[in-house]
Amino acid sequence: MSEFIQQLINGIALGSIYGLIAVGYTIVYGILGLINFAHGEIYMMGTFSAFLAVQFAKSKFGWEMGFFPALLIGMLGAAVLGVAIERIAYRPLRAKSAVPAVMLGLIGGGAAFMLLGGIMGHAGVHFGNPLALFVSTSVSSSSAVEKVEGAQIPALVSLAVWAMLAFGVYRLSKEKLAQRKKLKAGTLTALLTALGVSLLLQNLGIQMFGATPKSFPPLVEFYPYEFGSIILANQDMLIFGAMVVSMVVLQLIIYKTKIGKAMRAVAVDQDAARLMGVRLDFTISCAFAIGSSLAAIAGVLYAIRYTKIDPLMGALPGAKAFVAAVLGGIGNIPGAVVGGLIMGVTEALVVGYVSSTLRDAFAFGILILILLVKPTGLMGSNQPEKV
Amino acid sequence: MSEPLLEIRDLDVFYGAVHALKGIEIAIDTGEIVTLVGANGAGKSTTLRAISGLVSPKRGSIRFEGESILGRDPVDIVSRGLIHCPEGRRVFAPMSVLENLEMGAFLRKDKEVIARDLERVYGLFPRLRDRMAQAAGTLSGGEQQMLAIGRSMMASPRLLLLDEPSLGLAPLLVEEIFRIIKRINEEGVTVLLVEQNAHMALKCAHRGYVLETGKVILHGAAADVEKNPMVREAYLGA
Amino acid sequence: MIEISSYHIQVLAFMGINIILAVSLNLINGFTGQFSLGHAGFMAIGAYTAAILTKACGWPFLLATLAGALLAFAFGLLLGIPILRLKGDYLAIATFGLSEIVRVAIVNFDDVTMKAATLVGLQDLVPKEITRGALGYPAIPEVKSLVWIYGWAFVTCLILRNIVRSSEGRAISSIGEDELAAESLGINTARYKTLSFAIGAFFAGVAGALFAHWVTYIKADLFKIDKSIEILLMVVLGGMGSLSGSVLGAVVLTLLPEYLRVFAQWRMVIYPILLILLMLTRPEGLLGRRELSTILGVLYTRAMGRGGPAPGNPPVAAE
Repeated sequence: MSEFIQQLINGIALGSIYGLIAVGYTIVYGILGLINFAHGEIYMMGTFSAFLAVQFAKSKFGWEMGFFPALLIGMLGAAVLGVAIERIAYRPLRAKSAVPAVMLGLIGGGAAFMLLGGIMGHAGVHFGNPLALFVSTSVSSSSAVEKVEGAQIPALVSLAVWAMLAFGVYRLSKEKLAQRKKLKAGTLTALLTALGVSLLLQNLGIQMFGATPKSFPPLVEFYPYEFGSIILANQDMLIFGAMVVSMVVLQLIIYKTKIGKAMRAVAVDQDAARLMGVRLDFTISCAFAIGSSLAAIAGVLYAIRYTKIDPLMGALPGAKAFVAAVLGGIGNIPGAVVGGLIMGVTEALVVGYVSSTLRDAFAFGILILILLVKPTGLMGSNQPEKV
Repeated sequence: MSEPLLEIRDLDVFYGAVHALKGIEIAIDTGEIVTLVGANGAGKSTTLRAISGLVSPKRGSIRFEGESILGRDPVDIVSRGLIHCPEGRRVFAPMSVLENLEMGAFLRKDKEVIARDLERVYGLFPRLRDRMAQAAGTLSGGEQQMLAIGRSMMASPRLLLLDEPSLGLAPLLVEEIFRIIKRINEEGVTVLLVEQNAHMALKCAHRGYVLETGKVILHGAAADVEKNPMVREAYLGA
Repeated sequence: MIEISSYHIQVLAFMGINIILAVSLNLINGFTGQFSLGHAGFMAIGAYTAAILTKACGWPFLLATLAGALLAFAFGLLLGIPILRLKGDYLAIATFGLSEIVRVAIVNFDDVTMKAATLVGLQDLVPKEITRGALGYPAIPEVKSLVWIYGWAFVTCLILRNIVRSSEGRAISSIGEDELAAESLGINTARYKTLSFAIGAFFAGVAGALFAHWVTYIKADLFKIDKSIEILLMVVLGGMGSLSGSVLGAVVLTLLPEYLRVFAQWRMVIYPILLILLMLTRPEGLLGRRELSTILGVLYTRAMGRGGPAPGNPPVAAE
């Protein structure tokens, strides 16, 4: 019995993480009808933003950053990334004014990327050499570069990247766009774009942070409360508490604020919402920002609880959170939380009683089962299945 | 009147390769009810969608209060008081009646004026007050139509574009909707009314335009349009 | 004559395998319009079945390949019936989940069979090591033959071309165009969807078997979602609903990463950027729904007449 309770506790903590990520899927799907496959990577990048910020603060200012500042930076990083992804990759699939967006996005993204790398590189933060090299070679032939071997590779890369930028901009010239407008971006296009973004972020992460797992600083020290043989960690309570608080805040935003109502209206009927004066692009950006910062909360909490982070950390939790979102009825926010908890608890029980190698199979088994039995999810979706 | 409230000249709209509007010309003066009648696919809804910025015309001009609004964002057009109440009600089904009405006033800031407008809408449609907290999707068809019109009224329109407000409603309700349109107009709102029910629309309107395959084939005082033998045969079933 | 190294032969071999994978996935994704992200799963079934049969049971290669392919076919049929009821995003996710389950099942196969066998008291009859779990399956008998690979690639293209051109093929294509309309015309959409899914799975199984005997060491991780996406990209790049497009896509996307090798580790960053740009600029792929033949006309017919499934790449040059 006590083992069961212990697994339940583990499961609820894990499930809270899944739930937080799942909400991001559900919000974006509810509004755009798009499965944002890159969501797991946003979760990863948010976590790394917090991680880098903590390291940076320590190495540069000797400041031991606490939990809340790190969390906020992580949320901010994820939100910026989420909004950027939407602008650069997803908006062109639907917007008529794609040219400026894509151009600005690509060029701005490139510039930000360089700037970030430059700052980090000069600040001496361990950020993976290639990026710093890439930056300095593409900005100027800085003398520091020549000392490092293999500098020609990043130079080639920067050349290729800019060539691709030029190509992309050319292809999206006005005339081309006029043709493309007729093509309604199908499910496949959207899905593949999302997959591409996901792959890109994973690999960019590997290049920037290195593939080896990093130890996340213990921003909240582990402290166990023991009840007989059951251990209740303060971190588990923090995770659950943070999830509950986040959900309450989210409900307040969605039901009580103007932007929340705009999001709900857009989810129901985009054109009708526009006729009310709702700015579609802004509203969608907000949805991405909110979903992404929730993912970052999940990521930072996960990192504190499970201590290791790496660039591929988003793949599986991302997929499982997606299952959770489907389980709860995609588009349904409380459903996503419940779905996440179910996934977490099931996983913990499978690990505890069956086999830890089967944990992933169970997740996907649940997915297929639910899709076949009740595709709208346990709690119903606010969106009919788009055929 | 020196300048019409809304003036459309030589408007061309394409959907892909389909030429939906071919050089439409319409002018609406302040205080009028103007109706656009015509068969399915004649381009009535497209005209409204072009005015409110949901589709981008290929050519032509649309001027509202003397300023060009062609190619403007719907948000900008709404903020000018040009409000489009779309076909098929399009209420936000999971949101409450009150929330739907609040969405109508999305761009407005002055809470007191909004509260006053809310009272005015409740005055027009007393039933909406009773169902304030109910999800819009649970209303009957007629109530949803009232909500849609009420929602548009919450934007404090100077020109209201109504797309098929009587569609699918029982005859008694149709009469009521048209009475309300008249009343809204008497309160100072100019109305552009798109209708398949040409008979009722022409009775209610001051002037009428007849659209056929993307062109205006006839326009004039509503009574004259109604008497036109061609219109009688094609749209009035007489 | 340029010198052909074993590296070049290896690339050619993977190209041929990729052609089989891409063309067969195109039947499912392109022609039938059923978005599958699970092709790697069927490939894994074919690879493991054939490898176990040749190594542990001493079957001849061709027979083992067919057995692997048939098992993939059977799974395609069995799983296709329920799962193809789903549409669009949901189907994509479900097929993805399916292939993950296949992968996990392979990893846990020995454990589970042993436990099951113990349960019914047959533990002595069941070999301890069948798939060898996460360690991978080593020392598969080597069949490094481009003739086998391109022979199969040719057969695949030929069979799929015939299927697509047959009346069944037209039924399948009509589902891809508009499933509801097809249904209203009295076409048994469920049947054709399942059939095309299973046929696609069959050839994925073949590709898996060829792959396993070329590399001689396989593990479940080789057949992850990444592999499915890679195949899907070939289909999308070439054009959904164009068989020659898939061949082209397979050729390009086999060679491209090799050329990008000079970029070393940045390769995997550039690759997805190219994908995103492709989606933003030409989502219909290089050829769209057209066949190369309608574009290149006579030229293509002549090339096919000589029997090369990959135009412009004489495959048997290495022999």
